[in-house]
Amino acid sequence: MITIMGSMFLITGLLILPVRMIKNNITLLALQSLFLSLIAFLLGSKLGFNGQIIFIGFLTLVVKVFVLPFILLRLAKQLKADKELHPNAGPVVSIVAGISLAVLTYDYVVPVMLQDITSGEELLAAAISTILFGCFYVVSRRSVLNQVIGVIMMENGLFLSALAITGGMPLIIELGIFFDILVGVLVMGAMIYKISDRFQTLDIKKLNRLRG
Amino acid sequence: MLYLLLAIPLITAGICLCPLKVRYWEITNILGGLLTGLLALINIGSYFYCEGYGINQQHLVVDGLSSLFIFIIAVVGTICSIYTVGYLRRDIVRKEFKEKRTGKFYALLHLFIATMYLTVIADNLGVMWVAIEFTTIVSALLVGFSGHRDALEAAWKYIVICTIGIAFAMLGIILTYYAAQGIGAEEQLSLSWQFLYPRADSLSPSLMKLAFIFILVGYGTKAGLFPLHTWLPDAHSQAPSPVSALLSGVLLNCAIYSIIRFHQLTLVATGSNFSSQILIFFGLLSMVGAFPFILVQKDIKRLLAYSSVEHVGIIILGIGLGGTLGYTGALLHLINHALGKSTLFLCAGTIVQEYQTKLIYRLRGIGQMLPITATVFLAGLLAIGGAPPFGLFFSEMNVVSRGFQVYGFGLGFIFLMSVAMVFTGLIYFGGRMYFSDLPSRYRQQEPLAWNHFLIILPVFILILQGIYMPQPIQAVFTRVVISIMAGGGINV
Repeated sequence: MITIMGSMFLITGLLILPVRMIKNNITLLALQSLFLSLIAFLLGSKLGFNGQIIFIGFLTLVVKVFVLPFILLRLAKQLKADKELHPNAGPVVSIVAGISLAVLTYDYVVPVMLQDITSGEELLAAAISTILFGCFYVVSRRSVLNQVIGVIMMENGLFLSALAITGGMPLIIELGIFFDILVGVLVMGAMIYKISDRFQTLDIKKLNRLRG
Repeated sequence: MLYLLLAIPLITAGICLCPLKVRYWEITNILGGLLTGLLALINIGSYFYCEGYGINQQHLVVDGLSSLFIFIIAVVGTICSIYTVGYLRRDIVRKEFKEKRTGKFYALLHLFIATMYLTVIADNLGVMWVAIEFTTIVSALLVGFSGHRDALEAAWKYIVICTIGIAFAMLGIILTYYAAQGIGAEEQLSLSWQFLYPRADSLSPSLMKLAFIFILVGYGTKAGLFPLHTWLPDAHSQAPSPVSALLSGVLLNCAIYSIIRFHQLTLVATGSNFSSQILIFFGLLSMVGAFPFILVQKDIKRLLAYSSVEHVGIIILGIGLGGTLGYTGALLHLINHALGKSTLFLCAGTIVQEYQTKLIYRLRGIGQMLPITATVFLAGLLAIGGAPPFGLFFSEMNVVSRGFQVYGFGLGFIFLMSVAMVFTGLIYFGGRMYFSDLPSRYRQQEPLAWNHFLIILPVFILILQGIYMPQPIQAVFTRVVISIMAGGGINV
């Protein structure tokens, strides 16, 4: 069951890459976070009803499935950003790149580079692929809103890798990370407002005055 | 006491967020800054002179290494927060800054200082990560505070690049945690520095090697190591000058602090100089990579920012070279660079305010226009370039002698050449700005004010330290360096 959820997590991540409608991207992101929280619930109950992991899953459900997507959707609506117009990589390139990143992770990174890790390899592979997807997504898109989505995707990957190999970080750190990402996205959101106000665009290519 | 160190900046920030008169905000800011600095110095003093202070605490600890960083934050943080008052007043007069936003600025400034204190006194490596991520968020707000296009662009690049970079550091921490579970650590303790370090020799070497690489990528982004430095010149040049001073003088050091901690762990765990060699490589790369940008620079604050990249390179190189000479040099250099660079940024801020431009070729005759600030600026440039009698000369000497000792001619040659190139660049620009004639449209004016003492003080410390190092301070440094090497500092 956990393996299935892990692959669903991976597939939603992969699907975000080619999609152009920002609304759909946010929905997919929420779906991915939902799978993350389900994995946490399943892992928690598997390890003899581990309260901490279940609590983390619950926090993921609240923060990443509802609060953050809600903020992002509202932002997209207010800024009338419904579509990524000129991504750096087209849908075909994105999906090919995504699949090759996943293959790289499953065939090389986890079995060779991380061979010392002996627990939860399958989830770990999904997690690390998602981190790489997030990275790729940030570079392949030009809208600042999409960069935030990429960052949250990376955080999702990080959370899953922590869950997969160590059964979750100590509670105080997990709480810290949650608070961090919440504040971070709020701050980024506020900046996006200002950027669209000053630049009349969300295109990162237009933010090019500083160089050298 | 350590909790107070976090509480006072937070309370100050809280008061500054209340709707008060501007004068009360300023008073709160000055009092809060002074009190925090004083408290930090008391904490360091009690660590060095009262047996057993700050050790064996639960969450916040002081040890030799962190006390040096607390000292830097205390000095630079206090100076910057007081200097900000005058800086903002001048900006308000010029209508570049709305009076009612000053409270918010002070609040963010003190929050920023609090997160940096948390970074260096957190016992738990994960909490340290959370603190560093918070420094990014808070300081990005400060960088983009003016809301101008360039400032927003810099702030956006800064927050995105550093958030992504630091995500990799989290991966390194997860691996460390996994390695700690491998030696049977309990959950609450397993990322605690005090617990982990004495047992580091039983951590899995290959896991720690991998973890160190991720950590270096993550915190290296934040410290501004060469290929990952791209956010640094933008953020430093666009931020209000007191914030640039804090970013360059303190924030980079906080990232370096985390790298040192993991370097120590990795050294002991692997029992080889794997991490040292990586640090040496990136240190040299930062030095060599930064100087072309310094030589062709047009913007005064970007010039200083690239010089920070170079100095981070020197520090990382010193840490990598290790040994008594290497560590002493690197730690001294940390402090010297923080003092020198923050002074430079504060001076540059005043100069830029007077001339209304950051372009070096338009800043002519600063020596006539602002005799005091400009002289301190020139002295600061000489200091940062590594000229004697300033302290930086001696800390660079320490690092490079260790380099000659360990790697012989090649490394020393690269080091000396790039330092010399940077020196010529800085002095060329400094001389052009200082010794040229003032365009007649500017009035000459600069009465001595209390603000000047804030920029003279660090330069004074630098000179003093270069000429004569008092015995007690030497003893403190020896103690810190011995404590770093005691855990198994490998001699390369």
